[in-house]
Amino acid sequence: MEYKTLLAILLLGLSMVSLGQSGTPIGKDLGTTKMSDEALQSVFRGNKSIWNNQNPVTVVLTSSNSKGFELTAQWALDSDGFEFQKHWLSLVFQGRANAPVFLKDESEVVTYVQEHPGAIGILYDTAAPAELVIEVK
Amino acid sequence: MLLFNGAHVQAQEPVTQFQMFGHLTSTAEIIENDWQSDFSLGEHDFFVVSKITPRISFLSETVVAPTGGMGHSSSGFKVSIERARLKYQHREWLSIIVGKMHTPVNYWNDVYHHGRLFFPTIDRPRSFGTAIPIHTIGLRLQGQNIGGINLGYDLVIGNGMSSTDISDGSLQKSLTAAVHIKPKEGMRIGLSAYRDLIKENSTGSHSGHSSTFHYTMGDANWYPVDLNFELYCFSFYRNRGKWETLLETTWNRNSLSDTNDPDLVSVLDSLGRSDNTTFYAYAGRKVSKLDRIYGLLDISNVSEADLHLKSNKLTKFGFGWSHDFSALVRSQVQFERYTGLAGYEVPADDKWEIKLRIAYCLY
Repeated sequence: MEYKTLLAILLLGLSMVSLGQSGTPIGKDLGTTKMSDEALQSVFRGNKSIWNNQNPVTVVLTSSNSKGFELTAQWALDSDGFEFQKHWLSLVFQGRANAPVFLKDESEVVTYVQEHPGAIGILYDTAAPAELVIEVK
Repeated sequence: MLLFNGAHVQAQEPVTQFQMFGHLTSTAEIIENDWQSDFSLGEHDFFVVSKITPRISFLSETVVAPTGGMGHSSSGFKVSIERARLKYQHREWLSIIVGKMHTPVNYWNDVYHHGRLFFPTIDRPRSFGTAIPIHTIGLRLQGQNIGGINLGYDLVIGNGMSSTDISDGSLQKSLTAAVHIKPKEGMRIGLSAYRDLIKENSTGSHSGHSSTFHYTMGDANWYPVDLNFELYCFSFYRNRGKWETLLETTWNRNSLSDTNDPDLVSVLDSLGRSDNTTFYAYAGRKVSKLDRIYGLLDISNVSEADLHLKSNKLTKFGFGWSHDFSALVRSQVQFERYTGLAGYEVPADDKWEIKLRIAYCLY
C-alpha cells in the first residue's frame, strides 16, 4: 500500500473519531475539501447557507427514522433524532434556512450530492466516492 | 411535500413543500364563581416553502382562524395571508426579502408566530395584542450567522401599523432594525427598535392579533390624531440540557406627532405621551424525553396617557405540562391565574383558567 493511501486511511479514521459513529462527510463543489468538525456541525445545524465559493448550501439527510439521521443528530446537535427533526422544522418555519433534502437511503445521498454543487451529506454504511470525501481537520 | 418523512425526493429543481400547522383547544374558566367551558378549533395554517432557484426561495402562510376570539366568543372563521415573501440570498451576510413578513422585533414573533407546535406556552405573550407590530409588508435586508457569535441583523422598511394588507395610503413607512447573536447552540439574544407614524390613530392589519386593547373609532377616548410609535424589544432564549428559557420585554412610547392639528392637540395636553412596558417569562424543564413542566409570567403595563392603547395593568401567571407524542404532535395543559389592577380602561382580570391544547403539523 502506498504511503499516500495509508495517510488517507489514517485521516479518514481521525475524521470518524470526530463524527463519532464512523460517519464520512461528502460534498461537491463546496469551495473546500477540508473542514473542521465544528464547522461541519454548524452546517448540519443549519447555520450556514452559502459556501465560500458562493454555491448555496444544501444539507442532504436520510429519512428521520433512519440510523444515519439519529447518528447525525447526536453528533451535530448533541441530542437525538426527535430534537433534530424539531430543530429543522422550526428553522424552516422561521424562513431562516432552506429545508434539508431528505432521501430514502445513503445511495441516494451519494447520487444527489454528485449531481448538486453545494450539497453536503454524511455516509455511515456506504463507501464514499473519493472525489466527494470531505476531510475533517 | 416530502419534508421530514424520508420519502424519495427527485433530484430536480424547483422543490416545493407543503405543511399544515393546526391546533385544537379546550378551555374551562371560572369568573366570580361562574364556570364556562368550550372545545374549539384553532388556527389552521397552510405553510408553503419553495426553493425556486438555488438562491431564490418563496415562503407563505395562509391561515384560517376563528374570528372574534376563541371558543365561546368566536363567531366564525376568516382567511388571512399571514406571510408571502420572496427571498434572494446574495451572501451569508445579505439576503433581500420582499413581501409580507413577520416583523422581526422579538423572538416570539420571529420564531413562533402561528407555529403553535413550537409554542412553549399555550398563549402568546400579551404584547402580541398590544405593542408588537406583528406583520410588515415591505423590503427587508437580512444577514445571519456572521462571525463566531453568529451575528444576525434585519432591517425592514414597510407599510405601517395603520395600513391594511392591500394598501398603506401614506408616504410614511415603518422602520425596523434588529440584531441578534447566537453565541452558543440553543441560545439567542436579540435587541430591536421599531418606529412608525400611526396615521389618525387607526388600527390596521398589523397592529396585533387582538384589537381589544386598541382604541377604535367610536370609543369614547378615541382621537383621530397622528401618533409617533416607538418600540424597543429585548429577547433572550436558551435551550440547553433539560432547561428551556424565554424572556421577552418591550418598551413602547407613543406620542403626539408634530403634524397634528394644534387645536386638537391643545385639548390633549395631559395626554399624548406614554411609556408602556410588557414582560413575559417562561421557564421549562424536561422531566423525560417527551415531557416538560413549565411556568410562565406575563405582565402588561399601559399608561393612562396613551392615546393608541387602552390603559391597563394586567398580570397572568401559571404553570403547565407539555407532552410531545412525536416531533409533529404536542399536547399541553396549563393552569392560569389572571389578575390586574382596577381603575384602568381595560378591566382588571380576575379569573382562573385551565386550558388544554393539541398542536400538530401535517405534510
